[in-house]
Amino acid sequence: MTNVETRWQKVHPGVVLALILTHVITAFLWDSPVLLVGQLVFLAVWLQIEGCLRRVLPFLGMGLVFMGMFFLVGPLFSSNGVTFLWKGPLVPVIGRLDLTLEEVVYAALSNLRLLVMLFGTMAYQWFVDHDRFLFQFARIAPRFVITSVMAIRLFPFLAGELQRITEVARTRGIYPSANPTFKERIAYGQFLLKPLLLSSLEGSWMTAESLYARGFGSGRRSFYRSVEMLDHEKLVLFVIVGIFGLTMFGWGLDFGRFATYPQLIWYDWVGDLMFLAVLAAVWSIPLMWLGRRNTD
Amino acid sequence: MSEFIRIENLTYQYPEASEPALTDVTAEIGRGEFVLLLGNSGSGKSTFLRALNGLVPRFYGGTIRGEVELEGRSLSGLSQQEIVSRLGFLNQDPERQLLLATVERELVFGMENLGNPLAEMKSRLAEISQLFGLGPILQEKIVTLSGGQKQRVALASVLAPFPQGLLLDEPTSQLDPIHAEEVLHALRRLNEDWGLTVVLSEHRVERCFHVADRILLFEAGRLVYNGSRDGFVQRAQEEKKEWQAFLPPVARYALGQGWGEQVVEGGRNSVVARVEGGSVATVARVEDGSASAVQGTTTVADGKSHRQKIPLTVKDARAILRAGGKQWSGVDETGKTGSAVKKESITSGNIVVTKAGATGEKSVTHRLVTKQSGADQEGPSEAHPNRIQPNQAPPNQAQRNQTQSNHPNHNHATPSPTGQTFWSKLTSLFTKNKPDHTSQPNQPILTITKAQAGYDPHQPIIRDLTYTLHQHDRIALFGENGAGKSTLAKLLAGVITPTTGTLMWNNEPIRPDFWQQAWRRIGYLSQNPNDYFLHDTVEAEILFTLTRLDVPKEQQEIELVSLLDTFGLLAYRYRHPHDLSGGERQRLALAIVLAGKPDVLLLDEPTRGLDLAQKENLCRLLHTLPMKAVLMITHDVEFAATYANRVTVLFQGQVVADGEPDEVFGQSFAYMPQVHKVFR
Amino acid sequence: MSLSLGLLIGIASLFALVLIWFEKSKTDEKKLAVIATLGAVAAVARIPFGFLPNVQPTTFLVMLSGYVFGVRVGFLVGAIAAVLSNMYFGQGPWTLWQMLSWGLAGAFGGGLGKVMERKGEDTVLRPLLATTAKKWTFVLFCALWGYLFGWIMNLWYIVSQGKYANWGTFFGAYVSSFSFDTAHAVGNFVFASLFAVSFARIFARYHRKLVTTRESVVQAAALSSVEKPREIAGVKEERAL
Repeated sequence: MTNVETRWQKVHPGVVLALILTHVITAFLWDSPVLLVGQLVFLAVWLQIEGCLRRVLPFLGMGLVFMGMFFLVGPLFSSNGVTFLWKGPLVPVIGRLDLTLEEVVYAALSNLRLLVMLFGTMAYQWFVDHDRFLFQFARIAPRFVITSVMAIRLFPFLAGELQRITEVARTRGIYPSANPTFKERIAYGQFLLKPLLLSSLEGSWMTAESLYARGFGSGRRSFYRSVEMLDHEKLVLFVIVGIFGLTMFGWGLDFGRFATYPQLIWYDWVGDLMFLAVLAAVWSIPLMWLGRRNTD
Repeated sequence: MSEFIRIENLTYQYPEASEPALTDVTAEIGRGEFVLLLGNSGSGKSTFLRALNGLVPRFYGGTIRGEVELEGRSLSGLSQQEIVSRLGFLNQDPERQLLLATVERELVFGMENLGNPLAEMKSRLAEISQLFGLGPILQEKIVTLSGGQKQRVALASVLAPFPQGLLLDEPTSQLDPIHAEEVLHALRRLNEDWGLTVVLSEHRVERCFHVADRILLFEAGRLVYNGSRDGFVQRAQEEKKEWQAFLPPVARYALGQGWGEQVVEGGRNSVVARVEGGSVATVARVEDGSASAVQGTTTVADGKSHRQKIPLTVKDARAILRAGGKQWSGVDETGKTGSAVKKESITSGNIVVTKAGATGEKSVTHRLVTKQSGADQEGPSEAHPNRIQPNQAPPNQAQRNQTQSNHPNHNHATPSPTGQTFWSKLTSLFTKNKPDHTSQPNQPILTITKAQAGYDPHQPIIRDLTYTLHQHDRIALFGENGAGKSTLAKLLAGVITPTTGTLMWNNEPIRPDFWQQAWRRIGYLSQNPNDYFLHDTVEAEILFTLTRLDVPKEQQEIELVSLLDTFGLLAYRYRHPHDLSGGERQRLALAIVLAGKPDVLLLDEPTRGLDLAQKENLCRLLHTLPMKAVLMITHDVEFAATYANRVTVLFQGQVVADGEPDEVFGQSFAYMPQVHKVFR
Repeated sequence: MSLSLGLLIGIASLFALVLIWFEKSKTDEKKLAVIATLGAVAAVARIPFGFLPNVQPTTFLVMLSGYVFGVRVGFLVGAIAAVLSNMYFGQGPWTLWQMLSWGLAGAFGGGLGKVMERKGEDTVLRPLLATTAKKWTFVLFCALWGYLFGWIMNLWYIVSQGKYANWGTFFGAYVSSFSFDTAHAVGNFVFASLFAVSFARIFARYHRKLVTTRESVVQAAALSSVEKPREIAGVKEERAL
């Protein structure tokens, strides 16, 4: 999952992050299903163009289980709305178990918002150069940044060690049977973890020696940047701030307004659609701009 | 040469240690010197290196006495920044030294820590990446690099802050010979061009011994030799025979052959072939009594005294050989030294250096054969007893004890006398459950036919491979990284299954349920002994396997003691496996594998990181074990030459050479022991 | 919105505090290396157990790291393990909350270690979790953290509910995650009860090395018992060139 390389990782992480954050923040702003669905579709298309959408799907599965659960339980336990679909018994502390149309719609909107967040984090995962992003903070928190970066670097190495340990265990006849019981699995896991722990802790001394010998923490650090934020990236960042401003302005003009409680009110879905059309257009500007510049 | 580092009466003891790791070490290291640290594992080399940049004691605590001065200032008075900006440090494992995600980040990391300004970092980055040819991989992720590339990046990133000195702790021990050579070559160049002071601890001396300006030899924490390279060779030649273990193989061979100093059979006359810079040697006649008095120097015809030259490189040795050969025949003709000196005349062991095989012959192999067997008569399939391995112990008794223990006459059927005790001890255990069904010497044990295997079915690592392990095979498996050596071993061990092809055990096709119990038949030793340690004591590790073998309780104790004793681990019975040293850990891992009493043993780079003494130990051990067949993945050509009786070379998943060691070594330049190269 | 916003701000400031605490501390290279290593190990350790939902040794390893190496190491190992394991199992909005949950679990482990293992002169030499009582206390807290972890994780659901989050939402979330949390707790219980003592011993070996090295370096005095410097026979001083 981590080894996916996309052209967006070549863009300054700050710009990409600003782009993603705009979506995540504005998703909290409005309640109109039109706009939320529109955002979701937009992010999905972006991921699809970069060939990453299919990678989202496996993770979607896990998310959907949770979502389904919250979709049921949330409305059941909350007591809002007026259009009753089902009335259940009274339960101490929580009150009446019931389902109202408003609650169901509200839960659906929450889940939509969750999906937007999920797609946003996926975009963050694949479109941001994490290393470079982390190093933006090296100035403020060098210890934390270096520690995290070292851990990120160690992860695939240790995963490889674990693979080798598994193979060695196999040559000693230590492997799970075809239908292992829970206990067998745990015991087997121990045989893999113990050598891993011992070797990795031993290796951490060499890492520490290397940190010392290369002067980490020996005084004031300086900071290396291979590429500064490019001019066009600065411009795009400016545009993104503009988009955010435009969105706020539209929101101020009551675009995207939608009330669930106490009763569903969809103020102006045509207006929302028009607003979405405008937004989709401006959202694409940074993507096209950056996308073209960085594939040259 | 101005002084760079001065060490005065340095004594250091690790916390919780009972003995000092360094005792009273005094030395000076000049600016621009190339210093080679020699000594067995645990002799204090590593501690010494770490004392030079303050890792000892700042990092490890403990007690220290004496003084280390860097550029005339005491180390204890210098800040970390002041020390590390002058002295770079590189240890064995590139995996654990590369800290960051990309090559570029890694290279600038040291400079960032030292607070170099951005512009300077950029220019130095450019310089370093050019010097090491890292330009194309600058943006690469470290994870994607090969082992050799990693060590090159590690070296470059240590050098990026432009230190004046570099401390290296066995930097090539994890690398294959090609990459090891690359690193050592880079060091040499940096030393010559930059004037970089290099302090190098290294087991593979064949590529760096001849460039060292100074040798420091450690023995049990004490500095027992501190001086020039030539002086070291001379001392090793004359009084400290045990030091010869630290010389390059070619020098050890030459000493064993009595090069440079030839004693004529009669014993009255010493004939000395002397070579200066590859020029024609002169021969002097020395009277009996004076011969010992002028050891190391000879009186030549013109009356001047010269030190004899022992070859330290293949090139030197070749020159001496050529010059020497010419001279010997010349001597014979002129009859100056009497008829006793012939072309074939040699020291007491009557070993003859001959060019075997005429130019037209199929295998143009330069062999060393005993005189008695006749120099030219044997073909590649000839029996082994007559062949003398190049690293074979030289005839003189003192050296026999400390050079490789392998005996050419070590016939497969009859183990060496030294092995007999272990053998009888172990066979009694091993044969209890499994009667030895030996019928003929070359019976196939494990056969793999037309196999294809690899993690990605579209890109198999092993391609259409047919290979057989016979009884009594001691195979050394060579091949560059990615050639499929490990995959083949895993295939044979049943860790991975072939996508196509079949495996046969004792000429019977292997059924899937074979692998369930395969660990009782096929033992596998990985590169990292730590993988085998699942318990808190040495004893528990062995008992774990014995219990799984359903060995009765009362029998377990006997087998446990016997195994530990064979592997020299009985004293550590109740220790934690991680309290053992590197060599001991490997022996324990091997003991764990052999507790399963396998017929076939597969070893993955068993000599990695071992010093010469440990290698000899391992070689001896392997010879004594009652294994039907052994396959050893290795990069260590010298070790293979002493141990293997069959050499296989893999290339891109296919066998490209397979045969007796001399045959394969003779043909392949990449896998040729140093001594073979001389006779090329 | 106020509840969610409050939570978000609370978490952000908690992270900021830990970060400052970490940056200003005199954490040396050895500790940094240990944190990075343990963080990566805790994340990698999830791989062989990926088959069971919510049963993984990460929580246990994080808590044990805290127990042996202290509060700060515990928190950081947890936070790093969260980021890393999600690189393998899927990054999402939950990453931040996992960082928090595991970080707090590690910190709690550290607190527990402080309370249960008397810190004194001989601490580093004594075995950890040596008594049955200590072991089972640790095991029970590990199991408890299976639930606590889930409860903290539920917060991200509550935040996503925006302004209409109420106690009902809370309760709903906790009821619906109960089965998952129980699996987690059971897993923790099993891992801790089986591995705690032996793993603690492994950790302690390295912790001991960390601590002993921080003790001041003894110059000369203690070495007086070691034999006096003497001429090493046969050492020939010979300057090259």
